Order: sequence, then structure tokens, then C-alpha cells
Amino acid sequence: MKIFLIFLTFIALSIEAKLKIEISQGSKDLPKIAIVPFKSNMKIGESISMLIQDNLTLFGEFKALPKNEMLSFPSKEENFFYRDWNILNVDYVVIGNFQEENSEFINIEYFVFNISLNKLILRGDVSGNYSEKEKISKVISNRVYKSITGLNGVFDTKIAYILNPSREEYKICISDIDGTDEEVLFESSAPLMSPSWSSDLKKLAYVSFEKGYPEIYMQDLFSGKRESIKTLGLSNSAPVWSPDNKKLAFVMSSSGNPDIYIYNLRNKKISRHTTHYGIDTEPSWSPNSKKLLFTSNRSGSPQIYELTVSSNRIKRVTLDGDYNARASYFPDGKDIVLVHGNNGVFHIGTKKLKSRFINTISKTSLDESPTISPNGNIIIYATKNNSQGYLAGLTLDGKSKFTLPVKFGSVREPAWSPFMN
Amino acid sequence: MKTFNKIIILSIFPLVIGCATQVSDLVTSTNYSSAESDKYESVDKIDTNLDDLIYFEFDKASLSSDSKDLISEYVEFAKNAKAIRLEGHCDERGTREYNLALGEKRAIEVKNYLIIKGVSSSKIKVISYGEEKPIDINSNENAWKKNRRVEISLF
Amino acid sequence: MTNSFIGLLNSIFLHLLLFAILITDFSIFAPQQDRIKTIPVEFVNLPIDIENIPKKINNIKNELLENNIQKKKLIDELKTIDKKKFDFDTRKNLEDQIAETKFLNEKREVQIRIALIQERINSIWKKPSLINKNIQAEFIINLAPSGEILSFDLISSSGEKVFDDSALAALSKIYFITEVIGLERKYFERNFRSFNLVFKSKNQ
Repeated sequence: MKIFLIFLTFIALSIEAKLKIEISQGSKDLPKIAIVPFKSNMKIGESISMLIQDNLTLFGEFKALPKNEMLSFPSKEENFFYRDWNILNVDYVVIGNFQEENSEFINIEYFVFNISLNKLILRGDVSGNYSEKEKISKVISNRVYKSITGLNGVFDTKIAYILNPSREEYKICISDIDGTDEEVLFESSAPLMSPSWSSDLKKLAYVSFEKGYPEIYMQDLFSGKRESIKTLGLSNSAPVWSPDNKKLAFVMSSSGNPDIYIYNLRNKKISRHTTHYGIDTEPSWSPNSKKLLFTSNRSGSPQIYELTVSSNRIKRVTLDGDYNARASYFPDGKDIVLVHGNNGVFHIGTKKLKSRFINTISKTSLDESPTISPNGNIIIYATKNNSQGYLAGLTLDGKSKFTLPVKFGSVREPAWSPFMN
Repeated sequence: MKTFNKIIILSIFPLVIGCATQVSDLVTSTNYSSAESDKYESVDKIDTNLDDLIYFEFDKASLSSDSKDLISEYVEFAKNAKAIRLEGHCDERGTREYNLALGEKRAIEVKNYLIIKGVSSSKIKVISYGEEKPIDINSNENAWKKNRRVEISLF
Repeated sequence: MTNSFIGLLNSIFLHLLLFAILITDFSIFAPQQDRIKTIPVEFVNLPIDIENIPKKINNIKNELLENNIQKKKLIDELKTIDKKKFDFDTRKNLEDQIAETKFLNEKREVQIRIALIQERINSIWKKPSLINKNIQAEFIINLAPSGEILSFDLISSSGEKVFDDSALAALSKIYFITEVIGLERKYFERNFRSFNLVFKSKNQ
């Protein structure tokens, strides 16, 4: 009887005081990954695995195990042993081999293992032209990244930016996200500004002063053909392609009053969406193409506002700081990134649309033009050192900060392309 | 005991082990082209012997009384000129597109003052370069002060 | 025969239940000390600030020490009162205070262990950067008093395979939760014999 009673009270106690421990911080260490040189007869194997390693470590999201620390060099699932990697404290291993290789065509089979879980998490193959080995490596890198993080990789994406090699020399350029394969799309002796990608990746919009005033051009990336939006305004600027590719938001000023307008790409009609006499500029589309963030100084200092396109209803988004500008949405549409200035110092900040708090994430003092990776995980922005502009970036988990390779001349206004597929 | 422990831990793995994802890709190539620029030429300027720069405070477009005095000295020249060009500029701080708008506000402010003083609005041309054309490229108070300006040119 | 046996069992069970209820009711009139014992302990997670954990633990330890000294003083005081004329209010008051310190002792002891466990698992867990997703995976952990993990089980998935896997990977690297060693046995049974571990994507 007594035992039964104790039993009853024990149940009561265990129900009442069930301990719950929460873990939310996580380790500061980066996941460790080993890319084993792919087995090949033509020595290209090692260069492919090196390229994959460069990709995966590009934004500082992984730590790579050096080749000389590897205990074995498996290339197939059958000769892979988890213990060889467990000892080395490796989290993930990528192996691969060439199924077919000649001077024209290559076909690679590859595997990704999760060591702590003793588990093969991805089996893939990729084929292409021998001369496209960088591209092939990027495709493998994206697949590996997705299998590990659950997020789409951005290693094959592009970045557009303005290059200013000397005072009267302006170039609009596109390169791979790692800074390689730079191509000049347009050159001018007058300023160029505000590159924006069309979501189908076929065109780039930008502002050119080549005729003596700011005018918006849309350039076809494959034919090089350009067209300008002919409007009555005195200046046109800040073009941004809508994610559904149907509209272009931009700023037009007719008598010193810059306002937000939308150009419908189908019927070529223009609609006006703000009318305030102050400055309204820097529009940026929500992922569903229904709302716009913009900067306005209607309150006396630049602050961020959100505009619902269908109703022209406007809501103020930022309250704190004397300078909040050039905001854009994260892919989830719930958070935004912006330039946050206080007392003449300008940092990149992030903010939840629904909360008041602005979280500053960059440390240098003249940071501007943040652009978000299409997977929402990385931000690249422009900053300056001794009046030389360069591009810097960071991962949003705060574990990594990086700078992009320095170009010959000042680099600014980075614009990350959408996903390539 | 140790091995027993391990067996229990490993025994949960069959629950999480599924088939590995299988993917297949084919890589193809792309090529971009560049475009040519239209040429733009500037016309000859009238020399007035006046200081042709009007300065502003950070993030402001309003004219100081000194600036108003300087603009007033331009009025007679302006009335006789064929065209007047007002170029608004900003310092490098803040964002580029906002500065482009702010430069325009500054130039418009000068234009409005000239109109009040009797200059015909039809011959005044306003343009902003934002922060794209600094006089001094350094990043300090002195340089910023010089760069926040409206340039007056008469033709 | 079987029917009457079941009936007997039933009646015993019902009697026991009735008795249990009676006991519980009586406990209201029982001395305060006993009542406090059954207060469910609310374990809120400590603010996670890895750098400050050692400092925090020290603070808690110091408080505990002070608490013990205070407890001793109270008991001594109680003894002297015993010898004096019985004063119900004073005595009850002191008993309350002793019970309170006991309760706080358990809470603090357990909180130290929680902080240590959090620190260690945090250092092992390689959280995937699923930005802006507010998700969590909950595990149930069964421990031996030696700290040995007897089993762990995912009881509530985050819905993201990568996230669940990262938590599983962290847990599969731990064989012993040594942080519970040296804890008073009844504290262990009450708190750590079986507890839940929640991996959260966001620090909120």
C-alpha cells in the first residue's frame, strides 16, 4: 500500500516538474568539411575538388580539412570508412570519381557523407564540357551545400556592380559571385548607377548620365541592346525589377519632387504611387511583388516606409536613428536589410518588419548598398577604405566576415543576381 | 557497459536513415554582350568672376543667408545669359539614390531663389549628380563640406 | 472466482485512490515545510551568454554557500526557541524560512547543472543557418545517475530534416552528461532522470 502511494506521488511529481533544457546558441566552430581529390586519370580530379573547396569556403561558412591531414582517399561508396573521418573530427566528407573523361566530355559521380550520423546524404552525378570545369564545380558545390544546409547554394550566381577606375571612367560590370569572369556591360565617361537584375536574368536596368541627366536604361545581357524609358520627368533613377518580372519600380522627378512610379513592362504604362513634396526614393520590391519599401524624408530625416501597391497605403517602418535608407526585403518578406546611420556613422542593419529594433551587423563606418544572397543567408555591401571603394560581406549567423577580391578601381553598388536556374 | 551504451545510441539511427538524395545535372554555357554609349558634348560657359559654388549642411537643402547673398550677385548675369545650369551634389555619406534626390532638392532651392529674384524659369536647367562627382575624394569633414554644393554655370 | 477477484482489486484500487485524495487534502493542514516540497520547480532556461557562464556559476555557488550558512543559523535559532516557551508564530515563521531555503537550494543546484549542460551542448552543436526560420526540435533524454545517456529520442521534429540531423549529430557525440555527477540523488531523480532537450533555431 505504501509503495503504491509512493508510486502515485512519484507520477504526480514527475508530471509537475518535467525539466526542459533549451539549446539555442550552437557552437562557434564552423562545420568541418573534407573534399577528397576526385579520382581521375587526367589530373583534373584534384583541380575539380580544389574548386569545390574554394566555393564552399568562399563566404566562410565551412572549414576545409587540408589534403595532407586526410588518412584515406576514397573515391567510391564501397571504400569509404566513417572511422577515418570521425578521428579527424570532420563533419562532412565529399568524394567523387570520373565515370567518363576525355578532352571534350566529362561525367563525375560524387557522394556526400554526414560523419556524425554515419550516413550517406547525397549521391549525384554531373556531366558537361571539359572546358566548363569551373561551372561543373559550382553545380557540385551547390548540390553539396543544399544537402548539408538545406538551403540552395549560390555558388553559380552573379553579381553586378559599378566600377570607377578613374575620375571620368565608369563601367557597369557583371562577374561570378567569387569575382572571377568579369565582363563589362557598358562604359561611359559620365556616372552610372543603380544596377538591378530582371528576375529572368536576361536584362539589367541601370541609370546612366551619358546624356547629361539621369536616365534609366534596360540592357539585354545577351544581345547588348539597350532601351531607355522615355518619360517626361527631369530625372529618372533607382530602377528595380519586380520579382514577377512584370513591372519596374523607379523614381521620377518632374519639378524637384522625386516620387515612386511603376512602369508596367507589358502595356508600357506608368503609374504614380507617392505624391509627397519631400524625397521619396530607393524603392525595393517585396518577394510577392505586392509591396514596396522606400526611403522618404517626409518626417524630416530619411526613414523607411512600406507601400502597398494596389492601395497606395503607406506605413512607416523605421523609428530609430537619424538616417535609415535603402532597405530591401529578405526572401521571406518578413525581415529587411537597410543602411542605418546615427551621428554620421553608417552601418548595415537588419530589422524585423514587425519589431522596432534595428540590429547593426557591419562594423566599418561608410557602409552602403547592401544586397542579399538569393538564399537569404549572406549580405554583400559596399564600403570604403582611404576613399577606395570595395565590397565586403558577412553571413547572417555572424560567424563569418569576408571581403571580395579588390578590383582596379573603386567598386560600388553590388547587386546580387537571383538564382540562376 | 560502454559497448552497451553505444548500441543503444546507434540503434536510433535506422529511424533516421533514409535513402540518400539522388541528383543529376548537365552543364551548359552562357555568354554576355556589352553595349556602346551615345556621345554627349558640353557647351561653352560664361565667365562671371564669381564664386560658383553654394554650400549646404549635411542632409539639408536649405540656403543660408550667405548663400542667398551670393546667388543675388548672379541675378544680373543670369538675366542676360542664354541658359543657366544648376548642378546639385552631396557628400559621400548616406545612400546614393537618396543623395541623388537630395542634390536635386539643393539645385531646385537655388533655382527657386533665382526665380524669386526675377530670372526666367524657362532658361534654368537643373541636374543632380548626387555623390557621384565629389570635388575632394577624401573621407573627412573638410572634404564633405566642399562636396555638399550646387555648381552654377551660365551659358 | 475471477469476477470477485477483479472486484476485490477494484475496491482496493478505489480505496487507495480515495485514501490518496484524503492524504492530499490533509497535506493542506500539514506543516508548511511539506507543502513547499511539492511545488513544481519552474526551470526557465538561463539567459544564454556563454562567456559569462563561469562567472554566473560562481555567483550561484556563492549564493548557495550563503544560503547554507543562513539555513544553519535558522536551525540553531529554531533549537533555542524549542527550549524556550513555545511560540507558535515564531516557530512557523522559521520553519517556513527553512523550507524556502531548501527549495531554493534544489533550484540553484539544478540551475548550475543546466547551465553547464547548455554550455557543453552549445559548444558541440553545429547549428545550421536556416535564417529567419523559427523552429525547434525536442528530444527526451534518459540518464543514469552516473550521467550516462541511456537513450535519447526525437519526440517533436522541427520539420526541417537538416535541423533535426544537426541536433542528432550533436547528441550522438555525447555519451555521458557528467554535469549531473555529485548531485544529491533525490534532486537527480526529480530533475535529470528523464528530461527534455529543446534545440531552437532562434535565441528568443
